[in-house]
Amino acid sequence: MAEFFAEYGSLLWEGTLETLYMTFVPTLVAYLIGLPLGVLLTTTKSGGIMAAPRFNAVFGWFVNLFRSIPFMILIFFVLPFTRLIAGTSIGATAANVPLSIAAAPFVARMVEQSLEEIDAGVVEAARCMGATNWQIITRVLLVESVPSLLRGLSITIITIFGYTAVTGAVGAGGLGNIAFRFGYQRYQSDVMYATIVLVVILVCIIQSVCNLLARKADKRNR
Amino acid sequence: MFEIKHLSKIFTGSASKVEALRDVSTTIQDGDIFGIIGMSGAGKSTLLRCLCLLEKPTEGQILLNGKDLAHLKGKELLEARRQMGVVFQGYNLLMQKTVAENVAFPLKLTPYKKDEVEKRVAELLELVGLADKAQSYPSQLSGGQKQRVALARALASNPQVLLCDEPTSALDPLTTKSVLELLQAINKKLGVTVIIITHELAVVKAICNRMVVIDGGRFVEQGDAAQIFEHPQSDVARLLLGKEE
Repeated sequence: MAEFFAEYGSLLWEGTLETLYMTFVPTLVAYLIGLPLGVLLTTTKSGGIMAAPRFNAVFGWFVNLFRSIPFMILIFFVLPFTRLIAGTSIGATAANVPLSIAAAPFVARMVEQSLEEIDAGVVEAARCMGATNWQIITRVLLVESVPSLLRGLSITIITIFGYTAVTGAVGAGGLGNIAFRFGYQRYQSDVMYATIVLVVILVCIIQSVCNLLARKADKRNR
Repeated sequence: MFEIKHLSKIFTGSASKVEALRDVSTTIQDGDIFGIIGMSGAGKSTLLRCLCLLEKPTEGQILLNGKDLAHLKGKELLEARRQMGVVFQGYNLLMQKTVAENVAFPLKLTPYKKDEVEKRVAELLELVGLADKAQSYPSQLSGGQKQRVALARALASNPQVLLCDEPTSALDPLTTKSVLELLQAINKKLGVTVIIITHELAVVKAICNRMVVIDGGRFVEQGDAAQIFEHPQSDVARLLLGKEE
């Protein structure tokens, strides 16, 4: 055991850090893009505060289009864009580009779902009080949905976490890359098992932290 | 004075046309507690949505002190909405905000001073008897208490007209009584005009001085509440009163 860690410990540690880097940076970028998109998806629905059903249909179709491209293919599809942004097409920083692009429409749908859960009556009440659309979005929709948004966040992080294994397999580093190189290419299953243990632990931690935050944030059940 | 003049609302679908309101008119004097009673499907909800300016009537006017509010747009519309307080059957409170924050909500929609808002919120919570619940969340309150918070919130912007949509339909009889008494007290104290839309006869009987009976999108009977209770003229009113032979 001690021998194993002496030999592979630093490798696994670096892999873990790289995986976390490839998880959290795309999560942040995906929310910066996906949150406004999700708000737009919800509010432009017929019956929404900025109802524009035709725009909503086209826009929803566009979001679905991006969501339906398999991630592996998306990585190659956006390569020119990746080089433009990251300056390179290999490594963890380059991987953040396709990861963000893949996750943004996913986040948009997650946010849409969270906002849909809000009682329409509350929005109606705010409109009756003379709130502007912007005020309704920032003070009602995004406030009332915080617990649900946090639960969505945990699903998003874990999904992106899973995607990092794919980018790892095509040369972006991280635990996925280690598992691929040692477990698949070199038949060193002990290293692969170690990555699996690490991945399971990390997912559990992410899930627990998000659950705790969501529970703390929710004022409905106290 | 709050006037509804020849108000009509027609919903046109692709194949159908629904006349939810057909040329209804009435005048509500300042300080009235005015009941609008009807069975479900009579057009009550549409009327309420028109009165709180969420829905534009197809025809007609809604006059507050002689000014037509029904066809305003943009900023003027938002301002007009602030002159009406609305209380809903389902309370419609922000569940993630405290009682005090809920009441402060309408006050913070326009530029405000923090200490003035705090003072006003404390006043309003005092008025509805919930001063001790300022830091509670709605989920910690009973139905009657939630409706009191909603009432405080509706009164926050000093509205001239308080619209109540089935304000007691989700409450038990005892709580209903206390909420109605509060409405009456507020009407006396602040002089605010109260309009109650309901299907509950007891509510109108308890506190309204004037009323209309709505049926099939029309006002079939209107006038002094006591008189209508005594001698209902329309079939619907007799039916509602259980005097149909």
